[in-house]
Amino acid sequence: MSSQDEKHAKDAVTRALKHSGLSRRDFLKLSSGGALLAGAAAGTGGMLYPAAARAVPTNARIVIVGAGAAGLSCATRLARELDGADITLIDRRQDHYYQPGLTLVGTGVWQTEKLLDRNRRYVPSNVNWIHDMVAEYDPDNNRVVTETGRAVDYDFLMVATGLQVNYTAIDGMSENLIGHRGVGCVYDKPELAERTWQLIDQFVNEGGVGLFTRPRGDMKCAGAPLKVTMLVESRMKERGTRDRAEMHYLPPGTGLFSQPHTDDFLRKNFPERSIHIHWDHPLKAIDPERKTATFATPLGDETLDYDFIHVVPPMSAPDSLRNSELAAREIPFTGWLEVDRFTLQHKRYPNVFGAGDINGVPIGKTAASVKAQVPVAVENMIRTIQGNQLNPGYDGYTSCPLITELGQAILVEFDYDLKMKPSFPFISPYQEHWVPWVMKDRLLLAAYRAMLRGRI
Amino acid sequence: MAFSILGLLAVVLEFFRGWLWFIGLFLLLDFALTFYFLKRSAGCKTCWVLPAYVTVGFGVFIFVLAMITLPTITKSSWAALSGIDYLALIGASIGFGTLFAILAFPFMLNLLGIRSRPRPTSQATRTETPPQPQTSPQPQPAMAEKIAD
Repeated sequence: MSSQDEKHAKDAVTRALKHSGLSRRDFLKLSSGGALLAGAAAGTGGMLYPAAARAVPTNARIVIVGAGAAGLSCATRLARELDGADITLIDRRQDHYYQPGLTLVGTGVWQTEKLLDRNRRYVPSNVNWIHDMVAEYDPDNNRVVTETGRAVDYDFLMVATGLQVNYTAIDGMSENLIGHRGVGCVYDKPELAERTWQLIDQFVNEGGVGLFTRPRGDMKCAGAPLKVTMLVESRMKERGTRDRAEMHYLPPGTGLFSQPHTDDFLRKNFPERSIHIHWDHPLKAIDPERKTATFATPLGDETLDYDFIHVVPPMSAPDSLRNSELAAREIPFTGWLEVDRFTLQHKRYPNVFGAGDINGVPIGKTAASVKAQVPVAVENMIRTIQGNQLNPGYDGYTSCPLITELGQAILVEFDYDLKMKPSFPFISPYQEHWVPWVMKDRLLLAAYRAMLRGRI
Repeated sequence: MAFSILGLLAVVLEFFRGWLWFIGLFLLLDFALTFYFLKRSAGCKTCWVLPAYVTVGFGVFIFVLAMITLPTITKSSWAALSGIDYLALIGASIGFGTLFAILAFPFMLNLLGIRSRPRPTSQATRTETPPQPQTSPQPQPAMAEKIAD
């Protein structure tokens, strides 16, 4: 700009200011005020969306399979951290359940309504949502095919399907049985947890023989069968009916919990509460008419009578993924998504990443693991887009607010090495406290929603 | 798992999300009451100490109430508390007490914060001085002479 142009511009500004009745000084004051306000507004946005300022420009086609906790968290983060990406989310489900609350509904602590939400509330507006389910993965051609036959091509794939609960892996068991003939199960759906509470309520009042099982293999929230057992016992003490019931806990192996300190605690705590432990008792079959359950023990099948049984069916990756090229072929993660446990990148297909329950990693099928995995999986997908080195940032963090009584819990947090990793050093992970109970009962749902919005 | 301050703020925002409209309404009411008080108190003798004392008293009442009831409200009991739980309970109760005190202060200001009303304009422009009440029981000697005259 020449000095003459500059003079013309200055004159024009002065004339405009004079016309609006402002002095140059006032104008500068207002401008700086406006800049401060704009800065404050941007800062507030940045507070809640810290990565928005460094969105990575790309025209990559990204497909996210699954709109559960992991899928939605990935969608919100990717939508925010990428500029220009074509992001597609595939899941038919409109409803969203807060699954960590199923135990609380199943034991009468919460009402079902508290779990219910809608996926629509969390899907970002710049994400294309296909209301369908993936039936087939074709990673060699970078394509997924939905149940309605729609082929969706991608450059990068985030698998966040969650897992499936295999009721029929137990002879005589079906989803329809839950809530009838003394059969309960708090996994999977809110209505099943609600039906389970009706049975538990009756069992707590009337007593009888209670069997509490857990399956072999990987499962989500491995603490839930323990919590249900302890909450039922606590409810009985609360109502003064404990002496009416005989309680048995039947794990499939010789441990109660993967973290050794917590395992030691439970080994002492259960006998003190007259909860009898039967090691090596995986549930094999159930006869609801006769109210008997058969366990495949090392010494042969053993059949026990029950008045109430908490069935936890075996779990696996969804069939569509289990039968695909993306699934691990080797023990111990057979059928699960074959990812590197630290970067969460697929071991054979570098443009595929995983988050949540679907990952074939040693521990971590909890919502807390999702919170720790999603930032790593998303960051590494973006690094792959940019051609940068991956961050081996996931250390196996998982957490379980292990409810031991109504009003008390132990906040257990640990990693791949099974070492305790307390988020709040002042809360002991070795002792029962009221604070972790309050967290579970009041605060974790808010934390979960913040996670879905990609804010934590 | 590390929680940043901003992460905790995001959780707090989610925790209160369903109540945000109510909190917003209450804050608006508080601002309006504060503004109303400032407007009303122009030219008046104001008193900040009494509303402050009453507000603190109200905050202490809420603190004690929270201390007593929080375990029960959270479906627990005092028997379940140990060690750090007591500190957490005290901390939470102080938080509730402070919050309610802050919210109540504008109400208290309006109820107790204005000591005297401004004089009407007609009184302020009066030229006659109103008769002063006699303060001493016995008249002064000079005044007594005047009366005798």
